[in-house]
Amino acid sequence: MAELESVIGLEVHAELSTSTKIFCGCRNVFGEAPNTQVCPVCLGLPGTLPRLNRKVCDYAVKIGHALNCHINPVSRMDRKNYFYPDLPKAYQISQSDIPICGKGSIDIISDGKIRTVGITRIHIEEDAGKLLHDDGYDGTLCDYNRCGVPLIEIVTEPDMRSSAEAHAFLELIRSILRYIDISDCKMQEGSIRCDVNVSVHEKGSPYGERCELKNVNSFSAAVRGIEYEIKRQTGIISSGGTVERETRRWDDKKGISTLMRNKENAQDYRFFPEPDLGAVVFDEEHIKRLKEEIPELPDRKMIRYVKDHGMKEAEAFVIADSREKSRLYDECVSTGRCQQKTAANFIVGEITKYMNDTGKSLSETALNAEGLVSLCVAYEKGTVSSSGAKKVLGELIEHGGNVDDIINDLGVAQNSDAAFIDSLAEEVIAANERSVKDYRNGKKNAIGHLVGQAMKLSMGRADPQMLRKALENKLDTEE
Amino acid sequence: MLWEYTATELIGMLHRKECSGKEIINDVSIRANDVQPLYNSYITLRSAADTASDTICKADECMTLSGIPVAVKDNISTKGIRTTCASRMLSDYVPPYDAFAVERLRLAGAYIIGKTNMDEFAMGSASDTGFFGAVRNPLDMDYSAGGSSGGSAAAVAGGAAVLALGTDTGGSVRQPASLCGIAGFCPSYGAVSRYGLISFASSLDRIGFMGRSVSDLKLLYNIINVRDSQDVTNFSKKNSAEENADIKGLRIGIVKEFSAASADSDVTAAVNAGIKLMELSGAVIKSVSVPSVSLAVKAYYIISSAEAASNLARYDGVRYGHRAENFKDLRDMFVRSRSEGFGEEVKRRIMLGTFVLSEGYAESYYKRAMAVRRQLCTEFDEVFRECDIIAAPVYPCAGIRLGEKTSSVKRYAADIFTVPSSMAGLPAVSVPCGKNSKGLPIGLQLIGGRYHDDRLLEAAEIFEILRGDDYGRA
Amino acid sequence: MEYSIKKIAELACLDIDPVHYEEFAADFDEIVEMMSELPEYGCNDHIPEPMELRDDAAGNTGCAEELSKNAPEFVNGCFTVPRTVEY
Repeated sequence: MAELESVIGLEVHAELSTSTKIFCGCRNVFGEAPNTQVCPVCLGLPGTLPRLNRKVCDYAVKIGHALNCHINPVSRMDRKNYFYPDLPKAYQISQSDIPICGKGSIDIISDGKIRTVGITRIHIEEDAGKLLHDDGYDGTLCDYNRCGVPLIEIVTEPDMRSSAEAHAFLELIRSILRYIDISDCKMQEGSIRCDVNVSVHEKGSPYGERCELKNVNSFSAAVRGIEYEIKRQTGIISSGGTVERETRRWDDKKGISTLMRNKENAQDYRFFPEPDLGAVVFDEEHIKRLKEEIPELPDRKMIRYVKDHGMKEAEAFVIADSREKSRLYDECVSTGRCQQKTAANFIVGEITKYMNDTGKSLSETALNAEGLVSLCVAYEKGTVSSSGAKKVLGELIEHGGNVDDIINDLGVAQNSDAAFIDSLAEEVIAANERSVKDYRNGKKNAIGHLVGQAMKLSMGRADPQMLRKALENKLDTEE
Repeated sequence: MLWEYTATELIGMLHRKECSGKEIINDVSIRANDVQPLYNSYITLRSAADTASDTICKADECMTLSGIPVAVKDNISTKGIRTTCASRMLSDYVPPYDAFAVERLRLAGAYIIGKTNMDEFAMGSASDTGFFGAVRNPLDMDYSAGGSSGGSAAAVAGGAAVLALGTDTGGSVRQPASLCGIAGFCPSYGAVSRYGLISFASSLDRIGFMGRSVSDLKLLYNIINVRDSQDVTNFSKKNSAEENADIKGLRIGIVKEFSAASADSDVTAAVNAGIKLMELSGAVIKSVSVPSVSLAVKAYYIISSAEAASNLARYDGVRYGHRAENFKDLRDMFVRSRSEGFGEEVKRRIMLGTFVLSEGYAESYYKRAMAVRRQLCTEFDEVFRECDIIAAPVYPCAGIRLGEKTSSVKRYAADIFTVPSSMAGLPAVSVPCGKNSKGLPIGLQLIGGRYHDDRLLEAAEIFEILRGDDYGRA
Repeated sequence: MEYSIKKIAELACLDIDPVHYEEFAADFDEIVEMMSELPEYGCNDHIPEPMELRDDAAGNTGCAEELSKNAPEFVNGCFTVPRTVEY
């Protein structure tokens, strides 16, 4: 049998961070008491009519631009009909035939390779309510606060080949949504969710029948679901069977998928144009204006950092993922005063650690590019040691200020005066006969102990590189 | 008696202080309560005693409709007054808000006298499919008041209200107006906000007006035809320029395909006499063709049922409406609540609508019907280039006997004269033009170009003057 | 006709009274036949008239209490249904 290949397509749903819902003036907020953020419109009371929120459309155009999609100047809302208690009108207002965004594509990097993932479409729709279960009540409780929260659905082509690629795509989408500031993407609040389509086929032959995985509530669950599904389908094919087109429910706790619906009892949503709404129409000018609001996005940055700056993928993602971090990095590098690597290391290391530990954003700190560049320069010149630099950076983050002053105030200036280093080396050689002997007998590691002692003597201010050199010189020549 | 006058007459009398608003309200309320057991035109009627309450204080203030009792069809939401759509499903439903049209009525000082009986969810043409019994025609109680706005028509015809709001999806204002011998007006689609009108078929539903004279229709129309941002299909586009319709040279189109449709001879005779009357006064009669009229009924039942199936899916017994008492599980609760809550005709339409949208059938039913509808609109646009209004019958017969068994297909086919303008969103009015041998009234339908509502009403008023007789009294 | 009334009823969440089923089916078939064979006037996508969009500004949120008055059952601030399995 020829080698098997898996094919993955994704449908990503993200809640948009507008102030109000998609079709009514209720606030778009999370975590309020049940049924307090509802009105006759989002509860679907008889006689009520929807009114589409302009911002939802603009946000959809922006993500369309970000993913290089064709923007339809005229699009249409449709009804998707099905009965479920979380859906008050028993239909979801969505877009079927003419979505706001048509075809597009985005490049992801996974395992050192760039892959282009096609975007099939992006459309807007309303979210449904939540069903709750309470020990004190034997039925199901319906909370409709989430009804009418605006969603975008991004549908990809079946262009990914591994769970790692799917993960890279999901990470990138989340990053882009945050960049263009249209979604909070809070996984735990369910504000970004996805459905996964997986098929497996023999290389060189047509794609296999796909299965759709529902109930995938985190990116790591998507990875586990995809891997499970690939294994399941590979098993079926290897044993001579055929995979049926199915919708399956992913149970992340148990790590298995179970059958929800097969081809025979597939849902019939009876889509038709929403007669309560008109066409969504954008003029060309408006579409252009929204495009101008899009900054350079993480996908471009990732590729630039990896290709042009020689960063590793993981480092590049840490910086590119955050609009603030990449702005800081780009600003530092654009001064031409420090090395790219130095700035990148501080950002990926100490700065990211600080942000993660405190939960603060960069704008909430006193750090700016000027400060970071000065620190990089001082570090590169050897004016400050790496441990000293961490202290200085801490100060820059907390209070800001002039780097030279901070180095002085903290007393972390590194001493690289040759005479001073020499005298230190001599002092240490005199006081550590045993180590000296070991070294000269071939135990070259003993030098570490001597460097350490010398650093201690200097109260940590000596340049360790110079010290090592001076010691080696003396030990190797003065036998 | 005061209940015999038109709204325009009563307003004049109020201005001249020949009567008071309280007197009018009192008089009409007593009449309404007296005739309610006969006509069954109301589902919810304020008691005559109620008229003494403080809500009547407005009666003598000088607002346009101060002291005028207006009946509102029971599919138009009224805050705090139950709104049932003549359905068991909503028999206890009390809206927490007013429909835009009702808000406008209240602002104009109108007295909402009650909620009128109708076909369940406005699906029907004899006001006999509702949970609250059939409406009887005040002119002959063996006959139906027509439908679906039969209660509104009967109330106005029988003196149980001075004015009424109805709704018209495929003829539901015009047809009962014709059968009850009153004037009924269905404005251009989009001219009046639908906010608060409980949807049957969103792309066809319109709030319409009923009164005993065309000037009464204009009165209501001018109060309610105001832009409402809550309904994005509401345009309130008025073609105000040159809307006076001089009968001399008024180009009246006679649609060949309507003439080919079979109407009873007494209906045809009365309608033709009306047209002749206008011709004699200087109107120019033109024969025009709208070929797709012959497909309109098919396409109408496909589209209206599709939208109805979706619009009525929300009635599942969770947030409001009837919930079955016994059920096994969630699905069973939905099915039982809906099956108990809806009547036969509503279920039939939901089934039809579900079918025409279902996989494998949507292409040959729903999508084709939408294309026919677009074609029909194009054809009407053409016709209105060569004529100002179209004249036609309203309904193929002068009366519907209550309790008469007719097949669904036959009942639906009888909508041939009203459905085409519904599909094209055109304004249309029914004005009484004669009576058959049994004394049952017959209406003349005038159809205008989209948004040429004012011109249409002018033309209708001219016809009313030419006709001369007083058809508005029971 | 190949459509199944039972399947349509399932989709519509309705029960067709078995006592009057035959009658209903005959009538239904007759209507479907009436609606059949519409000509094809091209298959362009339906484009509605353009609409005005709403600003992203907060409006009135109705209080749960008033909106719950019509509910058959209201428990702990929630509408209720028989126990479901989340899908």
